[in-house]
Amino acid sequence: MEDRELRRLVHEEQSLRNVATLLAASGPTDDILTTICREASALLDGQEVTLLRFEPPNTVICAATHGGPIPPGVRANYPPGSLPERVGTTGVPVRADDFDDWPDGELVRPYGIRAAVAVPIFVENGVWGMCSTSSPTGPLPPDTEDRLSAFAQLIWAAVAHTEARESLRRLAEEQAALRSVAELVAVEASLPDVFHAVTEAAARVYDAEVVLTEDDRDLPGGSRVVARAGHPTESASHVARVAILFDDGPWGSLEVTWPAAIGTVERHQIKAFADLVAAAIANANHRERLTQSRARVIAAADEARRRLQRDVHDGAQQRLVHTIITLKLARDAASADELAGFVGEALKHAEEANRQLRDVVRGILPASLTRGGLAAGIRSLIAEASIPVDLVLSIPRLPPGLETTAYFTVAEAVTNAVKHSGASRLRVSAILSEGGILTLIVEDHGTGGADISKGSGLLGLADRIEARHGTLTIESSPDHGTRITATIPVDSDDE
Amino acid sequence: MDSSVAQPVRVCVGEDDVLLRKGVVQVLGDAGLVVVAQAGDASELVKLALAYRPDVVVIDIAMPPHRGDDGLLAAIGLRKQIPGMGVVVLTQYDEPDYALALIDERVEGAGYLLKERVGDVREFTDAVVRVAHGGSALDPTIVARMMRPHHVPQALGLLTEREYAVLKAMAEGMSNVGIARALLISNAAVEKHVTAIFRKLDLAPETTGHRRVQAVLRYFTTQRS
Repeated sequence: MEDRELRRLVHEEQSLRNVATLLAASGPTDDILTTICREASALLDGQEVTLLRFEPPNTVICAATHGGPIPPGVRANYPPGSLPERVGTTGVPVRADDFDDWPDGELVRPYGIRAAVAVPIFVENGVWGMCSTSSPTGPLPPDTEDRLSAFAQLIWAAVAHTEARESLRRLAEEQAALRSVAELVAVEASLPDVFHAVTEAAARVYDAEVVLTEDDRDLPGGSRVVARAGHPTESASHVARVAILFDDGPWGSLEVTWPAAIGTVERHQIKAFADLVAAAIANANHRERLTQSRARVIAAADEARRRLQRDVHDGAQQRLVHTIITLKLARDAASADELAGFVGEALKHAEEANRQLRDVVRGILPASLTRGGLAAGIRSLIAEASIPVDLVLSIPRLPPGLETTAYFTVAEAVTNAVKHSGASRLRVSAILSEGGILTLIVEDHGTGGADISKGSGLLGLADRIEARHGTLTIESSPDHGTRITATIPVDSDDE
Repeated sequence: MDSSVAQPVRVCVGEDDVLLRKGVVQVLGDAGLVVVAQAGDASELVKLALAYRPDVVVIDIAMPPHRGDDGLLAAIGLRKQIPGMGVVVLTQYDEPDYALALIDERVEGAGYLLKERVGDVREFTDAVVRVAHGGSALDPTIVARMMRPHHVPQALGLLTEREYAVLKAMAEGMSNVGIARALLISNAAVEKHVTAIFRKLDLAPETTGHRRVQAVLRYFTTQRS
């Protein structure tokens, strides 16, 4: 075997090993292709080697190079009869000794290329691209095709492996990203959180710039960017956009822009992320509609209470008052003892009925609440309690719906404490913070045991409070007693 | 409290419940007061009161046109415009807070009675006359609610049963004479009890009418808040 031949074999083996090492490691794709170009260049005695990828129907993209004049990322459309087209259609090495004679001469001249040799690189379903070497002066040596072809097999294996590995890597990353975003959607994270998670995940997986926009006809551009991630790509790049629908109408879109390296982002991949956005939007809308529906039910119930209280005041109570007055006058006018006795009886019953009716009405909707607001209502409630209560009130007048909910929250909590806690003293506080949050606290140092699942009183409260976007917290234990805390925001668009 | 004053007490009545209005007018008329005018809604009553300048106005809290607080607002407005005129408010609500809001700073010439009190002819007319003469009248039921034990635990525990009853009557606005008559004891006994009460509750002794009521009511409001 000739020396040179031997040396070439040794070089080849070394190159193989270099590439194999890189393949085994987890370096990014570009490194592998650049390494291949470098090794090939060494085998060609230092001539430049460039890898170019085909993109149907007639685009060629520079994927990697070692010493070549064309920078990676550059794309061009090639005309029929050009070098890339000949390589792609014939599937054999093609040589151009003088580009002046070629239709793509104009494309390569700016790069100072005079002549070139290119060999096809096959992958499973066709020609992936070509491996080429060029010269700014005269034609390339005659054995260039052979030497490049020999290396092309290696390249083919590397690329296939690379692409497969890249696909696998991306698939795995994609699945993980989709899963974590889906979790966010499932736990009903806020929409801004979901939006940011989607764009950031997609940007990471596809190494691209991702923009999520929402349509808004009132804005100049017709839409608004709600989330953005990844760094903007310069120059050549691909864009894929998927529309996001809500309620069968357009809501916005998810757009991915990635640089022209190997691989492409399929629309169906982006659609998976877009679908998650659509699901989150649908969920949030559904939740809001549910909350509003509950709020309407509660408002209707409160209105019924108001009507009942008014009707009883104007109707039954008034009648009882008349009865009482009449009976009193009759008692004064009655001369016979027996008659006076009967009248006195009737009067006692009527007065008792009146007292009971007043108590019932106070339980339905106390006058002090409707007339004096939450503070007056709570004071009146505390006055009725059979154990002493320490009271801290720092609240102005509030929207009626909120005052009603707050009052019944305190009333239910106080009633429970008086009935079940065994405590000798209660503490009640109602404070409106500067940020517009009403905080109600009812606490005792009794025997604990408050549980939202026992009895519907506390549960009904939780419904009321949640319908106003508030939260109810119950801490109850035999050691520390019970503390019920409700925080409710003051709604700006309240009734 | 006797009604045999030099001139009969002049009253305006504002009540939209026709039956009740007739009852009030009748009861007051039988007791020797003169009902100079009556109305079924708040604005009409105010006009009449300004025109006739009665000694006292008896008015329902909830009156048309809005049925919310119109009667009360009219009462408060009249008190400001004609400070010497008394106002007795009739209500179905026995809410102490509400009563105290009406009385506010000025106890004199203010009264807050439950509607059914109209049937206790003597007590009702006494209260109206008292208010007409610058005194005060707080319905006994409301006073009772204010004075429930656990609100003022230590202090009330110090009072005897008789002193407790005298305190209650003071809060209702009764004078010593009135208290003596109601509890069937002598004037001197009443005075003795009053002195003891103020000492036990650690209040500065106030002998005269509205200042005394004010002291007592203030005592109860500070205990409640």
